[in-house]
Formats: sequence, structure tokens, C-alpha cells
Amino acid sequence: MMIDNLLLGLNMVFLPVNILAICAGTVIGLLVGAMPGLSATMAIALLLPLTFGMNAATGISMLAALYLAAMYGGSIAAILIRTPGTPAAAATVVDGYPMAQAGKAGKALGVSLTASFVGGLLSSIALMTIAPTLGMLVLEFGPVEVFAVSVLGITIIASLSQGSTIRGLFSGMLGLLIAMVGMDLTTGTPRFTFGVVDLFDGIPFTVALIGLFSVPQAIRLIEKEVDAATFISKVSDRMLPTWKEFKYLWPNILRSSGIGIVTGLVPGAGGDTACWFAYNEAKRFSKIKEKFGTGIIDGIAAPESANNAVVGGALVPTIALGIPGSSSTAVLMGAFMVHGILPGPNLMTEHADVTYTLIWAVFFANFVMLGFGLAFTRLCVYVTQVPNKVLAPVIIVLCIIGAFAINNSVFDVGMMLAFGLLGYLFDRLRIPTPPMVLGLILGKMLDGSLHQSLLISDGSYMIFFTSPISAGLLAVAAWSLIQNTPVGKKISGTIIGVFKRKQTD
Amino acid sequence: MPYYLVAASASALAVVFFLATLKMQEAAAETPRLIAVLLVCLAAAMLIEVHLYRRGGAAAMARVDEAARPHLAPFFEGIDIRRVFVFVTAIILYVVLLEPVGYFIVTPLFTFGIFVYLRACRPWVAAIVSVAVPVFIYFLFVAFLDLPVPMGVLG
Repeated sequence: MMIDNLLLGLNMVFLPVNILAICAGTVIGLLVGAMPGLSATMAIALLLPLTFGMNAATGISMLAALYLAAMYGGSIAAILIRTPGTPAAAATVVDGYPMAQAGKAGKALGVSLTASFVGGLLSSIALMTIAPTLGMLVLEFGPVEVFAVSVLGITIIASLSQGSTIRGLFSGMLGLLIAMVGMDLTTGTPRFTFGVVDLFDGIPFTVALIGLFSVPQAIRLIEKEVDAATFISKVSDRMLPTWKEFKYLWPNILRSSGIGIVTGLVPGAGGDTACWFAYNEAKRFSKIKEKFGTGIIDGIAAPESANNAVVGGALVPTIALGIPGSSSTAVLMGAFMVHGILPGPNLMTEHADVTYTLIWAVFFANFVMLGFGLAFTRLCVYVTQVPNKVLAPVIIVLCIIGAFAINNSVFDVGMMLAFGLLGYLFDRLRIPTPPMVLGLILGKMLDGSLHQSLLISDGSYMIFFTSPISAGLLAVAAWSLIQNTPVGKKISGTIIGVFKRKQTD
Repeated sequence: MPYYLVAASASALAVVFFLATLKMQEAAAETPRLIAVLLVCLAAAMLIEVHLYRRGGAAAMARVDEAARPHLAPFFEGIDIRRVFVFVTAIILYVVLLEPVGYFIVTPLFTFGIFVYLRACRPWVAAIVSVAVPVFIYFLFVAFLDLPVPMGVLG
């Protein structure tokens, strides 16, 4: 039955109209992803009406291709102008921009594209083969498990604190505190809004992200008089990684794709969190930990393969259970409903033609993204030849329209600017901003899931240890914290020593 | 001095938030209270760290890599203060005038003004780029994506 449906979907995806739709979706996704402030979710919502006149499979395939391509597109601005095009590309800035500054913008983008391609491909294969099984895993994730995921995310803050751990933790804690602003979903009360209506929804994470990364970058480009001939990089380096580099990156990409798929499954966690998890794990398993943040390919491959792998992961609960895995898939479910298809567990059986065409569309969209991505990226690298003094005000213009576009609010633009000035101050004082970004992402998730869990358990904290998934994740989080202490390093050294002795014996 | 400013501001924010939690339900107040207390502790720890580096001098700084070292030199050292001040002021004015005047008027004025001030390019190139950017934004955001943009006096 599944083979028949796969063949049906494969047959349908090769119809010329569907191929055209996938290509169009990919190009739009690349453009949207590359523009700070425009997200895949927004683009899917805006283009949804365009699909009314199309066949269901065609329209939904186009939107899915857009979602996938936008995940890669976000890395283009992240690498070239230190401004993540999408929140899922925030971790790519950490190594991507320094690599571009070192004259290897092409290589950085090429590694990003390759990793995105492989991550997306692996997740679409997972979607194709084990979607129903993975769907069952989704049902195991409730508030208790989501809290454990948040705690694990918090422990990453320390490892993201390049240089001074104290300053990094300070930045992360500030991010967590700011994330508390807005309505508390558990009690329904506004917190720390001080009567400002615009703060009732909290501080939009994307606004803070644009401000913290882009505005300081624009100011840095003009703060000193530099030689007019100095550009960020030249268009001379090879784009795609060599076979040797790819073999070196393969374990990293495989692990990061796995992290992306699983994170995509978790409701509420998407590319924004997956990219940081993957970056952290890549750093943990790397033999050159100290080089992370200086512009190495490992630090680009990890978040990029994870954020594209999220696409397939997020589609699993959507298709298998009718539960959206992310905000983008929630809008995609709207697309199903607009075409008269009610999402639910019967999607893969009663509407197999549409569902399996979608699954194949996500698979082939990776190849289209690779092709268009190579051409588009080669053009984009020319941005690095634009003089700093021209680029700086253009970055500000894009930031302002990007911040405004999120909620059509000038208040958000003001907030973006405030975060921007804070980010510049922190950069000058060597207080890292990635931990603040992570604090902003995880704050609400941590607080909300904690309270929901305590409501379920009547106030007992033991609930976090009775759930096997939660207990496992908390153990990993605890080890993450201990590992960087002298005691932890001694234990690691002992374990590694025992293994080595057993091997030689 | 800047570290004291950052630490004091963060601590003040934490205190304000902590005091605000006194009027909230317990469930809504727990997590923010804990975070506020931790923030004040970390602010103090950051100041102690900076103080220790300052006391240890060059030897202390040499023991760690550059990213770990605090910025102990004067804050504006190595940068053109006037240029930064003018740029930031221009951005603030841009944001303030965005809604009343409109994006498609303020944007070319901002970009042209900054290009001329920084002597980024020839005036005719500055004029072309200053017009081209909002035109591109118009076609992408307004015409294609149908997103509202503050029109101001043109609206």
C-alpha cells in the first residue's frame, strides 16, 4: 500500500505544472529567506491565496518548497552581512560571518548550501519512510518533555559564551528575563508590560534578533575610516566543499540532521532551537573546539543541516497526526483546509495523492534548491564587493522594513533599534550576544512548560524524573554543565583512558 | 566604567522586575523572580571579573585569549566618535519620522544623507542608490507580498 502511494506521488510530482510550482516556490523561498524580517511562515501565509486556483498537490508542493528554500536562504544574509535572514540562521552567523571576513564568503555559502541540501534530503527520506513511526514519538512529548528540552537548551548558553563564561551567562540571563515580558499563558496575566499595550504579546524574537546582529554590524562598518578598496571578501574562493572536506563534515552533518529531524518533531521547537542544539553538539564532539566562532566550516555545516532537516521533521506530525510541528507547517495545514482536505491521521490514506506528492516535492525541492542556490549565491557574493560605507545604511534600511513587516508596528522598529544599540554596546565590551538570543528563544518555552507540568503533577517536581524522555534529557543537560568543570574534565579523561586501554588490550 | 553602567542597568531592571512580581500571582512570579536574582548575581560576578583583570594587568590579560579579555581601554578608543554619533542620530531620526513622513520619503533622505556625510560614493551614484533601494522595497514588499509599509504623507 505504501509502495503504491509512493509511486503515485512520484508520478504526480513529475507533472510539468508541479515541477514548475516547486521551482517557483524554491526561488521565492531563497529570496524571502535572504531578506531579514521576512520569514518562511509569513511568505507561506501571503502566498496561500495564490494557490486557490491551483490543484491541491501543486499549491501545497509550492509552499513546501518555499519553506525548505527559505531555511537555506536565511544563511546568505547571515554569512555576508552578519544579519540572519531567518531566526533559524542565527547560529550560522557565529562562524559564517568570520569566514566571510577572512575572504572565504564563497566557501562559507557553499558549505551552507551543501549542508542544507544533505540535511533536507535526509529529513525528506525520514518523512517518506518512517513518518508514522516518528509520529508516535511526537505523542510522547508533552509539557514535561518540552521543559526538559528547554533546560537542555539553557545549558548551551554556557558553551556559547566564547571567552568569558560569566559574561556569556550574564547575557543569557538578561535574555531570559526579557523573554518574560508579555502575557503569561498559564495565568492569563500580563507581566512586565507596565501598561504598554504593544508589549502584551511580548518582545518579538525576530525583532530582537535583527537588532542584536544587524545594527551593531552596520555601525561597525562605518565606525572607522578604512581604505576604500577594502572589502569584506573577494569573489575568488571555491564555493562547494572538496570531497575531502565533505568526508570530514559528514559525521557532523549526519548528527546535526538527526538533531534537526527530532527537534522538528517537538511542537514549539523549530529551526530556531535546532540550529543552536546542532552547533553546540558539533562543538562538543569536535577536536578543535577552540576554533569555533573563528570561522570554520564545522560551525556552518552543523546549524545549516539542522535547520533544513527541521522541515521534514516538522512535516511528520503534520502529515501523520494532523498536528503542526512548527508555525510554518501550521500555515501549511491551512493550505490543506483551503483545498477541502481536513488534516488528520487519515491524510496519508484518504488523500494519499496529495500527501505523497507533497513528500516527493520536499525531496526534489532539495535538488532544485541546490541548483538555484548555486546560481543565486554566486550573485549574492558580489554583495561583499560593495563598499562598507554604502552597505551600512542599506543594512539599516532593510532592518527597519524587516522589523516593521513582522507586526506592522513602528514600536517594533523602535525596539529593534534599542536592541541594536544594546548589541553594539555588548560587542564593544566583549559580552557575547548569542547567549542572549538563546535566552530570548527559550525563556517563554521554559516558563510555560514548567507551569503546565506542575499543574499536571499538582506541584510535584518529581514529574520531571518519572518521564523517561525528560529524565534522559535532564541527565544530558546536567552532564553538559559538569563536563566543562575540572571535575567533569577529570571524569571524561578517565573514561577515555579506560576505552583506550581496552582497545590496546 | 562601561561595565559598571551595564551591570547597574541590568541590576536595576532586575530589581524593577522583581518588585513587579510582588503584585502577581505566585505561579506567574516564580520564574521571573529566580531569573532576576540570578541576573543581579551575574552582574556582580562580571564586575568582580573585570576588577580582577584590571588588578592583574597585562599578565592576567596575556593568560587568556582575546575573546575572554574584558575591554579595559577607553570605550571609544579606535573609533571615530563623531561619525558613530551622527550615524546613530540619523537612524533615530529615521525611525521617529518613519510613520509621520512615510517610508518612501524618509528612506531616500536617510541613505542619501549618510552617503554624502560618509563620502561613500559620488553624489549621482548616491542619488541613484537612494532611489533604487526604496523602489526595490516597494516592488518586493508592497507590490509582490502586499505588506503594508508606512506611507506617511503619501498615504
